[in-house]
Amino acid sequence: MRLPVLPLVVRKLFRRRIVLGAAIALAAVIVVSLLAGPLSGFDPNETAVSQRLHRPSVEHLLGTDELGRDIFARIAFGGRFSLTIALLTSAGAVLAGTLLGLVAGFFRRLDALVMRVVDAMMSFPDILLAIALVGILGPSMLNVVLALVLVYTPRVARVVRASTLVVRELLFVEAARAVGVSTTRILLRHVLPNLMSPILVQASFIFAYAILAEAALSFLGVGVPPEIPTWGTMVAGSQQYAHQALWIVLFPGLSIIVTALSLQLLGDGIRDLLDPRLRKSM
Amino acid sequence: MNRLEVHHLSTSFATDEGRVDAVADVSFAIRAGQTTAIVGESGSGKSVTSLTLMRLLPRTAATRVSGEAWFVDRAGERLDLLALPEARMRALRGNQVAMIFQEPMTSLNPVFSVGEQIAESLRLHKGLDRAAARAEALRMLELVEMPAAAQRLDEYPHQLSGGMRQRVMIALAMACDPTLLIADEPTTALDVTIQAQILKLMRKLQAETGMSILFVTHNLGVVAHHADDVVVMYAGRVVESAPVRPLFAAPAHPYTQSLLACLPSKARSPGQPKPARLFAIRGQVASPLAPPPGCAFEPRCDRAIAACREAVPELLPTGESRQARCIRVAAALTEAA
Repeated sequence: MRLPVLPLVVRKLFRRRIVLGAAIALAAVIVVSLLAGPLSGFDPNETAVSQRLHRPSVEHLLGTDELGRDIFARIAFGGRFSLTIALLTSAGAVLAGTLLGLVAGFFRRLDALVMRVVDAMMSFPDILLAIALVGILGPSMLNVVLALVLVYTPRVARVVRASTLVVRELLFVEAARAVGVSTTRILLRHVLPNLMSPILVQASFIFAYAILAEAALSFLGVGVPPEIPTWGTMVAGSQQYAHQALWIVLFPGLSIIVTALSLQLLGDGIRDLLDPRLRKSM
Repeated sequence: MNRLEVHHLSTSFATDEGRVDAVADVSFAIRAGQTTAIVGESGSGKSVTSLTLMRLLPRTAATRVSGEAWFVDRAGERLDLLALPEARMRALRGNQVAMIFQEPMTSLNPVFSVGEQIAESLRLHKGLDRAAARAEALRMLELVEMPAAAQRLDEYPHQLSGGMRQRVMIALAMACDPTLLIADEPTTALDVTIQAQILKLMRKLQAETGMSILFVTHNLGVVAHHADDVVVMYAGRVVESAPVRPLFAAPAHPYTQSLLACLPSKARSPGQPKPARLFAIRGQVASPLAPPPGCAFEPRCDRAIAACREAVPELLPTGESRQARCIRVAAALTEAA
């Protein structure tokens, strides 16, 4: 899809304050993650027992955890892993789910087959399925991503299939056929662009869910190995100290909330902008 | 020369209640550079006929098609549209055979600018590059007399009015200079003044390019002004076919006669007082699931006799290039002879 000139798009997107706020918050999270070392000045895994459970101070901006590790440094480094996992998961799930959903929705013969598999996968509780998969594959960042992609693919597939069923019946698909467009091209050029809104919404949902799911997996001990700081492992590892040093879990928890919320808001904003029918109302 | 000759075209669909013949034994011809109109009420099979010819029927409905549709292409080769391999049919569609749909509101893709949609067809069939296709798309929009064409090129369908969208559809259909244009109720969704503009435009384009038009409509007024030949359909069958003037001057089939009597202008001759009521054909179209054994129009016909119920009448010649499917007309002719 060709978009109008970029600056204009950005200006339109940020005309809504809340979208602008979300973009700034997200940019801040990304910048902090990228500049983790120089910004914090601490090694995220360096322990200092004498400094354990310090309150937020000038030296340790967000305090220290039960092993005296700097929480700000751990959040900043952890952001890299949490965001990477979320990005890979949502990209993988959206790609696989869109493909499955398009095929199932457009080629009615494959529908029953594809959707029964999808239904079977959806019948497991999300986290349970992910735990089982990571349990089988072994805990590593890649395996967590793989497990989460498998968990979220059916969700995307369902939504994309449902939207495909609507779009395929619209007259312009028939009109495209009447112009001599091939089936593949109809799918990719005429049907897919009309599904961008639900797909984008799903992508932003999954991105947010993946951060939370990774946190849950790490919390349960089947996530990434403990030497890799992620927001999830931070909350999980320190929960027993939460009653005496709230900041240990508060700040990584806040990072998850802020990132997930910003993504949702930004996703909504982009969705409204991408859809030419909604563009006018913005 | 006939651009298209349709012989014994039948289309049936599978439904839960059994197989339904949407179109049965339809034959007609479209002369080069002329307009043939298919007239009929809803459910008479006129749209199914045009979709069958384009091979655009949904594959899910277990469609069964029989008959022949001989199309003479640009190179003068005779092709049976119903037997052509899908790949060759696709090369023909939008290129030599184009189609305009009833609903200009939904037949354009909402996420592409109108310029891109016209350009797609040009790039597909003429192999033009992006820039050339865009220039040609602009030329097409100017050809269909789109106001502020250069500006419209980058606009999206929702920014255009119904009449403008139908102009875009026509530009899209005309882009590759088709020799046959199938127009399925192209003006039904438009208001009357826009209808007139669109019809005038189609006429102008036909005069310029020499294309043939298959005009599917239920509007007899439009037929009278724009068609050269008329095919009247009822319940999936052709009940009468004739050149336009003789048909309106002396309709042969009782259904055609009733249809013309329904026109408000016919109900009131000049100088006569306004009639209390407009004429309406009594009853309803028979369900295609349980068609009457004889003539499909018999239950609604004022001139029906017992014989009408026995068998479906043949489509018989009633004059020069005229045919009607009615035993009473046939009987009257033999008496006269």
